[in-house]
Amino acid sequence: MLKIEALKVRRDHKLLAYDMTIAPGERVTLQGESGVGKTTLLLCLAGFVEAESGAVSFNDEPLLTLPADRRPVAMLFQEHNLFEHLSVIRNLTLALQGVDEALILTEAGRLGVDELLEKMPAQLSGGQRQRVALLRTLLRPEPVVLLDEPFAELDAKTRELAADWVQEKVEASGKTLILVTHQDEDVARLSQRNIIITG
Amino acid sequence: MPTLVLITGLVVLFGRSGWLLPLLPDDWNLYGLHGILLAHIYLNMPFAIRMLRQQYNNIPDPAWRLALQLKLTDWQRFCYIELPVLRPVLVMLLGFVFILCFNSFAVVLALGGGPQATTLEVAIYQALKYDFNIPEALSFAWTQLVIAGGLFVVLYRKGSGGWLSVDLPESHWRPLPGKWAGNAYRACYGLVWVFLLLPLVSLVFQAARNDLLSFDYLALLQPVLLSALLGIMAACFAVVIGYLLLLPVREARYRGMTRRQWLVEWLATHTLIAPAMVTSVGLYVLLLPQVDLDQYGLALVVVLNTLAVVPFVVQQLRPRLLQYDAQYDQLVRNLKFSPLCVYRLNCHICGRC
Repeated sequence: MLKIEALKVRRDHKLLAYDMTIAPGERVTLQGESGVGKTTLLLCLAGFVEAESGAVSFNDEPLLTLPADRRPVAMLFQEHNLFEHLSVIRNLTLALQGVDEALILTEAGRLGVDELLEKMPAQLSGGQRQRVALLRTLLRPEPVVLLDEPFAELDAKTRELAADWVQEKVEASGKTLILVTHQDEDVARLSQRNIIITG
Repeated sequence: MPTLVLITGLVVLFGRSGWLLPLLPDDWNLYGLHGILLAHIYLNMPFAIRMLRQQYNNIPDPAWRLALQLKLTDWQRFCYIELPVLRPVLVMLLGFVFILCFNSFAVVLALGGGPQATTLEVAIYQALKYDFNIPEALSFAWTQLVIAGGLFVVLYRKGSGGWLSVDLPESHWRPLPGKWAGNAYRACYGLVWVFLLLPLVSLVFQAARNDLLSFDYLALLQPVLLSALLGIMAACFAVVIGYLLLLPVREARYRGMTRRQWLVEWLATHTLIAPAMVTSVGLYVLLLPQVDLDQYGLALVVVLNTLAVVPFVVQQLRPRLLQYDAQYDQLVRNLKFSPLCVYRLNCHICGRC
């Protein structure tokens, strides 16, 4: 259970408040106008933005006191998800140590990025980069997955493919998913509960 | 730090009746290779730290954040994020520190301790000052120029990274070290501070032993004012010359003439490897038959200081101006700004250097 209780975060002189409870394995989408604080919430849960007050716990373990590298959270940022000086495969294997390489290759094939593995990130399109990052985020072991507009740069067909793949992976592993999106079709396809953040 | 100030501090600390002498081995002698090595570490460590810090600043925030998010270990973070950024400049940094030490003059002259520990730079000085042997001084100067210049060219061609370039804007986000690592870093930092500050602190105590109330402060005024005047003049000339030298560099870059850009850049910074002693020998030999050097000696000092700092000015201004060109050159040309307006924009950019 992910509990966010009376959480307050100051961002650009604005105090943002959050209060929600997310069940284990639940898939939640967050929507709201730009600048309302959706990304800020994800960054706070992941440990990159400090909370001013309130509490966040996962399975009764408080998260706010943990540093980012000890939180049970895997996050996909809006951008800059790959190390630019490492090849795609090195980006994947570096972050997925202990994961069978055959599995990585299989899942890369399903997302249509298996032929890009030897390339450098700069040689990839925005959509390809996002799929590589998605692959890495979902194959990591953390039980909470935060995705910040993961399909923003994908065309309609690839978007459907990637969304189905995310749903399958999250369901199979029982992970808790929080996904920020502006697209209603992502909500319809993936979400069990949609939360509108009003600020 | 002024070299002679440092040397005085080192003598107070490590000299024949130095404060730290009881802690040192019996055969310790500041005058010789020990002292020269120690002084060069003092002089070049801040430069190396500054250079490495600039490289660390080149690591973008998202890379740090991503590394933390992916739970990379400290060793993985070093191997995959820090080392790739540092590696291109490590060889260059070692090479440039080598050139700076190779061209060292004041340290070797003060702490050389005899012919067994001397450099070409000191040999040139001795050939001129004591023997007045101009051919010998010139042959030493050329030898030094060829060795240092050759190495400089190799490093300039092979190396990457903005040597002595301006700092990037401060980053907003850095991972905080753990408790133990943080304490270890702080201890390291403190030790380095003590190491670097000790010579200065020792000078303060040494000065306090004198009768400061009856000291003739007015006698200091003239040399201080003269030094300040020479420094200001050299700085102003160097900034103007540096800016002008970069005009053909920027033009060559705009036209995509890589080879010409490299050549004019090298010409603009070549006095870095022609040390003050080599340049002064050249000017001395050139001007001796035509100018009364005793009368115009101070002007020569300004010229030499200007030449010595021009490469530093060029390297400070270059990245900002090239960045400015890359971002705004087409816009500026399209808006048909006057040269004065362009110059003002340049000044605004350079003001951040």
